[in-house]
Amino acid sequence: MSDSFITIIAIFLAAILMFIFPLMSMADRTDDISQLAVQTATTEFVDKVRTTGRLTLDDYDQFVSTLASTGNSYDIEMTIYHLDENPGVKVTQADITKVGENLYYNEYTTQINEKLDESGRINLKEGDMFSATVKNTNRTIAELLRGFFYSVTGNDTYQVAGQHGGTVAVNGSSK
Amino acid sequence: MKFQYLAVIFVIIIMPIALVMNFYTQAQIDVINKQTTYMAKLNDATYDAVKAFQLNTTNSYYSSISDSKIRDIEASINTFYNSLTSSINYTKLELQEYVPAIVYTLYDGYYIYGKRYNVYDNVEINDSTGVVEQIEIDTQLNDVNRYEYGLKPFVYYSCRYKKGNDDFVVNFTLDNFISIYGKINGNYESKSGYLININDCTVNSSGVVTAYKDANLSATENLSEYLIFAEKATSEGEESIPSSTSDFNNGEYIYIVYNSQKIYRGKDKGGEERYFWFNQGEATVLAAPAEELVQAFENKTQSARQYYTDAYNFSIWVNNNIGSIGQINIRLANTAEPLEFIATEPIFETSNQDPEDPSSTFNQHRIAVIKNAIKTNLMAAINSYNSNSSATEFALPELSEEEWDKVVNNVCVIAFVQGLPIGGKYFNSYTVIPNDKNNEFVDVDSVYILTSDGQYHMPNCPELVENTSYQDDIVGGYINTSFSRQTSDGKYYYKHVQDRNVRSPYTACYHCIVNASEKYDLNDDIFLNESNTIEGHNIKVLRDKFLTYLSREKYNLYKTTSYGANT
Repeated sequence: MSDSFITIIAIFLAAILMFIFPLMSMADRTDDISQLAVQTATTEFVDKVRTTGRLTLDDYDQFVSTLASTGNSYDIEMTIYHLDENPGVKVTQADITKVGENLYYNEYTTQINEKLDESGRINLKEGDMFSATVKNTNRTIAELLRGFFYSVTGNDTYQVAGQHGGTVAVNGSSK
Repeated sequence: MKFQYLAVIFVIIIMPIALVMNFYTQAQIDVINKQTTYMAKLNDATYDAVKAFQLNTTNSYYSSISDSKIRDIEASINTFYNSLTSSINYTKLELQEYVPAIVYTLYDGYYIYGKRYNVYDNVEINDSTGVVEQIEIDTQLNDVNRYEYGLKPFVYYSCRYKKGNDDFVVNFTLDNFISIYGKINGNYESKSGYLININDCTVNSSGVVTAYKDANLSATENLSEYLIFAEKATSEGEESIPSSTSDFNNGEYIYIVYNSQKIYRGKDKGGEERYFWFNQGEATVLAAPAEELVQAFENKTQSARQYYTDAYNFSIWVNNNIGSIGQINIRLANTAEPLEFIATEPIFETSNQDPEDPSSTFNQHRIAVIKNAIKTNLMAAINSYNSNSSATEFALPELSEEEWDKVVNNVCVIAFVQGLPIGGKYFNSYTVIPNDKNNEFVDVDSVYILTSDGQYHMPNCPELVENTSYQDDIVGGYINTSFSRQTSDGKYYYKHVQDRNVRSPYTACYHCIVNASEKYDLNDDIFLNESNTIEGHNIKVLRDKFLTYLSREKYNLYKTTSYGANT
């Protein structure tokens, strides 16, 4: 083994240790911070909807721009579960003889966005449920660097994600 | 030095830095995550408390009586702690140290739950023979053992005014109802009633208001509810049923509210016509109904017009007697010293302003009074809160305008948590959760309208507004709390049924209640809309009926703080 071969190995190792490792470490931290920002923003957004009973275009836009400030692009999925307290509503999965079986019917992201664009707000009522899930769609630097060494396959290879949901506490009608 | 050594030294320097950074960021992330989860849990716990309060109050017609209310609030506070302790690892005792106050804002005032000093301090109790008992001066005023958790005395939303011969206090509420007591023109007066715009009333020759804001009020109404009676437990030895009770078939019964009591009329199993109270599946028959009661049933419910007539007379009295009072006349409650107000705009004038309009002078003043009443006491309660387990300085956080908006228009629960350690920081937060279903007061949005196709609607339902012939199908309207599911003897039932025999309950409309719609504004487009048209749709029939139902429910609601409006 020649000395020059070891030197080449050493240069590679040094390059990895001195550049890639710190870079990966920093990129990971950046993602952690993004993750934190996204989780906080999602919780705040959902909690605001839950405590006001109102989903407004303003709040949604603000939420989107908070997410954008992390430097990644995101896929936002929202679901509204409308509580249907009507007694004896006939469905297949509930006992129709039981009076007042509580059912939910759902609205999803595209329907919600359509409504928001149309009227600027969606009112919810007490007992409805609202949830939002956020996942990044781009490849963050940490992911790129990691892809350099190994790759993770599968559909859900997101790095930054936030999820929150819960029951709406109040009727959203304007007063 | 060889290149490789440099690399090794670099790694030796960088590795610890990277590790520490990693650790530090992770710790910060944990703290903020914990903060958001705690916030969500505080929201949930407060919502649970509101829900518990709702469950206990909506099924009780007399829930506004203070004994009953204190019990309901204490139960609700237990729910709050149960909910919070089950989701974060603290016991109730530990957690209490971090909750300086839980505020229940109600119709005419509010309760604060917190630590209070519960001992007589340097008090002598005397009777005619002299000193009977003397309680010694407590030298250790701050002895923590003397503090206990509980509800502090009820505080009214009140304000004192002084001008010339007038020196009086007005108690405000979440709507246009006020109580006035004190000296007016030198005489002591105590009156209460609803303030309305007197120029919007149409009064007939006998002094009864027949229309308000161009909505005709029905003269009489028949009100009914479906009742289920509990099976009577008749044990072997029991000979006869007590004379005050009687057996009834489940069914729909007519009722009126007479002297603040809900009284039903109907035939019992023997075919005899009876007058009775109903409480949790049991009827209490009035053995000898008063002549006036029988007459009252004959006259049917006239509450809608009665409400506006009383409000009209009260508003005229207010306008004539204290109509000129402005902000400049506000005085400190205890010393009667003037405050730094200079506005003279009349607050209680009812001839030029609509007190029910959110932007009216009266309403703005009412909001300011409520805010001030809550702020001053709450600030004192939180600042003086001393806790032996935490080094936090307790202080009232600044509530946002949006949150105040909820507080001044709704029955609310505000919960504060301060100084709860979450790693490197302390958790300081609060939450405001309004309570939409209560028997405290009837808000504009708390009346549902029934249509003959078996549905109930919000008054601003687009189906109703846009379809005049559908408006003709309106068959009644009741307060929203009476639409919730009732339980009797393990059976479920609903108070409002469409078909008496099949007893299929009215169902919520999918255009306005199940799927809340915001197409038309309830206040501006319906309630206060004198033109009776909106976007070319005629809503005369809808407004006539809606105002009738709303005022009737307002009139029939049991009120504890009413002096009456006798003029």
